[in-house]
Amino acid sequence: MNFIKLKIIALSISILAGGVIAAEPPVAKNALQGKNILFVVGDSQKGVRNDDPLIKEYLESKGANVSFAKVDDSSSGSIGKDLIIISSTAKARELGSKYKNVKIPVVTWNAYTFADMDMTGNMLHRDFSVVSEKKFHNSNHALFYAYATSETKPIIKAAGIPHGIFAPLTFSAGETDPSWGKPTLGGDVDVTFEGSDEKAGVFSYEKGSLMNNDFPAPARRVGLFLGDNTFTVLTDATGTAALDPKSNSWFAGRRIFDAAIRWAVSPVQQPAQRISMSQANAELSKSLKGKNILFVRRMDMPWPENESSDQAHMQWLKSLGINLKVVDHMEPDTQAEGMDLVIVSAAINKYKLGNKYSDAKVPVVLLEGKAVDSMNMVARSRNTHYGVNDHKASIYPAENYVTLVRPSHELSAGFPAGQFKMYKNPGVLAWTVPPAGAEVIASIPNQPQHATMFSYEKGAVMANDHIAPARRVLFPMDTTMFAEFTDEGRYLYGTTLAWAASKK
Amino acid sequence: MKLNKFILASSALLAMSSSIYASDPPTYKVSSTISMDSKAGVKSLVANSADRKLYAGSVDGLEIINMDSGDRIAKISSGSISSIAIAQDLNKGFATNSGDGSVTIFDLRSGKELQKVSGLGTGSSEIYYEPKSKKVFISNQSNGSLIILSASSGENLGSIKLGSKLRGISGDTRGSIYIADEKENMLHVFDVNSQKHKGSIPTWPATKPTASIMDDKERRIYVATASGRMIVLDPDIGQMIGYVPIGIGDGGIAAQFGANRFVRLFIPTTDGALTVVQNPKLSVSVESKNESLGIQSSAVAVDPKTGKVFVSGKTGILALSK
Repeated sequence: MNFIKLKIIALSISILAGGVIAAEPPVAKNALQGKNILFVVGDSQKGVRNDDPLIKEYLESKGANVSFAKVDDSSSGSIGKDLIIISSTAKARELGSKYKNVKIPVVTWNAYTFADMDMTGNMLHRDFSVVSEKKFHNSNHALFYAYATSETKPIIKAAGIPHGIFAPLTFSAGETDPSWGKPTLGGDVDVTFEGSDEKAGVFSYEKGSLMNNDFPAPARRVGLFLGDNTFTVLTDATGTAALDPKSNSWFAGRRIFDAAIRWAVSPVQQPAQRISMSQANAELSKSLKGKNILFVRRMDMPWPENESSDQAHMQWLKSLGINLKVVDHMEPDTQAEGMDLVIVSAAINKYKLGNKYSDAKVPVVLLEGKAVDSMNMVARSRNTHYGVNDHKASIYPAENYVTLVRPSHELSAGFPAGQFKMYKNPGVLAWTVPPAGAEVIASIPNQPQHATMFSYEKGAVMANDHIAPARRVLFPMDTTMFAEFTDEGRYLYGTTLAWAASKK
Repeated sequence: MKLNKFILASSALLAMSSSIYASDPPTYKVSSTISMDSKAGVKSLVANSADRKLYAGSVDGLEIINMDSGDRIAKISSGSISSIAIAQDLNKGFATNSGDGSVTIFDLRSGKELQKVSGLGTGSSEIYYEPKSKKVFISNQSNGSLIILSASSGENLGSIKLGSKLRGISGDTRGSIYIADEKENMLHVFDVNSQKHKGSIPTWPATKPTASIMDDKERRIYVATASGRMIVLDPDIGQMIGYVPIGIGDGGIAAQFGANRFVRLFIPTTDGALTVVQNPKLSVSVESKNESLGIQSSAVAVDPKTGKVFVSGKTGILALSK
C-alpha cells in the first residue's frame, strides 16, 4: 500500500515537472516476497563448503520461491521466473552465454559469466578476476575490506549504509575466494575493492544500459563478489553491534547482498517518453519557465565566434522563459545564492574561474570540460582523468557523436542507447574518467573508457571524496558549439538543465 | 556407583595421547558407566576439573561424584534439579529446582547445603555464574524472564523480562551473557553490570536454540538447537558464521579446548544422538555422530584434563572416551 502511494507521488512529481522527469522507483524491503527465482548451481570446489542450499533457504525466508537448475538445463526453465541467479558453483564453460539474452533480471556471482554475458570484458585479471586465497593471498585478504561508492547508488541506498570502507566478510571464519569485475560506463559501480573503481565487488546495469560490446542489458543485471562458500561469512551486524551505528554499517556484507537482489527484482526505471522535436522548446519551457538561472561566462571575449555562440546560447535560454542572470567568471560565487541553477559556460577561463561554484549549494551544469577537477567532479590528473578531443595535441579526434549508454536515465531524454548525433559537425568534446559516484550518460564512440556527459545526484560522492552539495552535470558543449547543436542535441541539453534545476 | 578404574585409566591415557588432528575420525565409546541413586535419568551435568568432581542433577536431587573414581561423594536431596553452576572462587555451587522455583546453594568442599533461595517462580531452565560481577543468572522458560541473584549472599537482585522461552546461558569475560530464547530463535545479549538488555542475535539458519558455550579467546559462541543444526556465532558482529547438522531435539553442548585454536564440541540431543563437532582453524565440521549410545537427555560435560565426556545414559552416567 505504501509502495503504491510512493509510486503515485513519484508519478505526480514527474507530471508536475513537465513530463521529462521520471524518478527512480524505490526498492522495497519486501521486494522478494512472492518472487520466483531460478537458481543455477553446480558443485563447489573440492573441500569447499557449498553455500547454495543455505542461500536458497535465505531467499525463501524472505518470501521468494526458489528452484534449482543445473547448467545443462534449458534456458526455457527461466520462463515465468522473476529472477535468475547464477552461483559460482555453476560450471561457466558449460553454461556459456545461455542466460545472456533473457529478458528477466540476472544476478550472478560466477565471475566468468560476467564476461560471457557481456557484463565485463573477457580478459581474466584485467576485466574480471577470482581472487583465490591460495594464489593471491595478500589480495584475497585485502578483499575483507570494501568501499561503498556513494549513498546515491540504488543498491547502496537500499542497503542503508553510508559510503566508504566497510567489512563485507568475517575475518577468521575460513578461507573464501571472492571475485570482482570491471563494468562499462553504462553500469553502476556500487562496491569496490582496494579502492579501485576497476575492481567492482558489486556492480549493476539498469535495463537497456549498454554493457560490453555495446550490448544493451535485456533486463537488470547485477554482478556480485561471492565465491562458493562466501555467503555464510558475509557480515551482518546484530546484537550489540547493531546498536552502534558505526559497527552496524561496518558489518554490512549480507545487507549489500540482500539489497542487490532486491534491486534486481524491483521495478525498473523507465526511460522518459520521447517527444517530437517540433515540441522540444515547448516541452522544455514547461520545465524551465520562471527558473532563475545564473550564467557564468567570460564577458566580452575577443573571439567573435565564441562571443556569438554564447550570445545565441543566452538568447535561447531566455526564449524558454528563464530568468537569466549573466555574470563574469571573476565575480564571486555568492552570485549563485537564491538561484535555481548555475550554468558555467565553456567560455570561462579555468584559471580565472578558480574553484568558484565548486561548493555551491545550488545545482551546477558545467560546460567547460577542463574545469572538472577544480569542480571536484573528476580526479586531478590531466590527460589521465580528463582531457579534450580535438584540442591541441590531443590524440583523440574531433567528434560530433556521443554514445548514450544509460537510456533509462532522465538525462537521456528518452533517446535510445547507442550513437547519438549531438552536433552537426565534429568539434571539441570533453572526455573524462569520473569516479564511481557519477552516473555516466554518454561516452564517446570508440572511446568506451571515456565519459563525455555525466551527472551527480545531490549527496553523491564526487572526486577525492567530495560530496555533491547539489546536483552536478558535465555537459560537453565547448565554446563555439551551441550553434552546431542538432535539434536532438539541443533538446538533450535543455533536458539536462531541466533535470538539474528541478531539485536543489 | 563403581567405575571400572582400569578402563578409565586406559581411556584417559588414550585421550591424552591421541592427536587432536588425527586423520581418522575418533569414535567416542562408552568407557564406563557411573550408576546413580536416581533411576530417573540425569538432567544436568557439570564437570569441575578443579576439584575433580562431577555434579549430576536429576528429579531426585543433586549427586556429587568423584570424577576419577566414579565414587559418590555426596547427595543433596533438594528436589528436581534442572541445572547447576559452580563458583569456584566462592567455594559455592548453585542448583535450580524447576519444580518449586528455588535455588539450592551448596558448599563445594563439603557438598552440604548452605542456603535455599525460594520464591523464584517455576519454570527455571538454566543457571549461570558470572565471576566478575559475582552474580548468578537463572533463565526461565515459562515466563521469559531472567532472575539475578547475588552469588555471595544469595539475595534476589531482581528479574527482567527478556523474551519468551529462555534456555541455556553462556558468557564472556567482557561482562556480557548470552541467553538462548527457544521460541524467538535468538540469543539475548545482557550486560551483567548495568543489568540491561543489549540486543539480540538471531540464530538463523537454526531455530529453537537450547544451549550455548562461549569460546572467549576466539570470540565464538557455539549454539546447540532443537532444529537439527548447531550454529557458530560471532558475538561481536552478532552473526552466524557456520553451522553443521546435529541430532534432532533438545541439544546440550560441552566443549574441549585444545592447542592451536582447536575446539571439539559434544552435542547430545534428545533423539539419542551424540554429535561430535570439530573446529580446527575455525572451520567447523562434524567429526562423528553416534546414535547407538542410548542417550537420555541433553545433559553433557567434559573433563578438560582427561578429555572424558559425560552424558546421560539409560542406567546412569556414561563416560565416553576415544
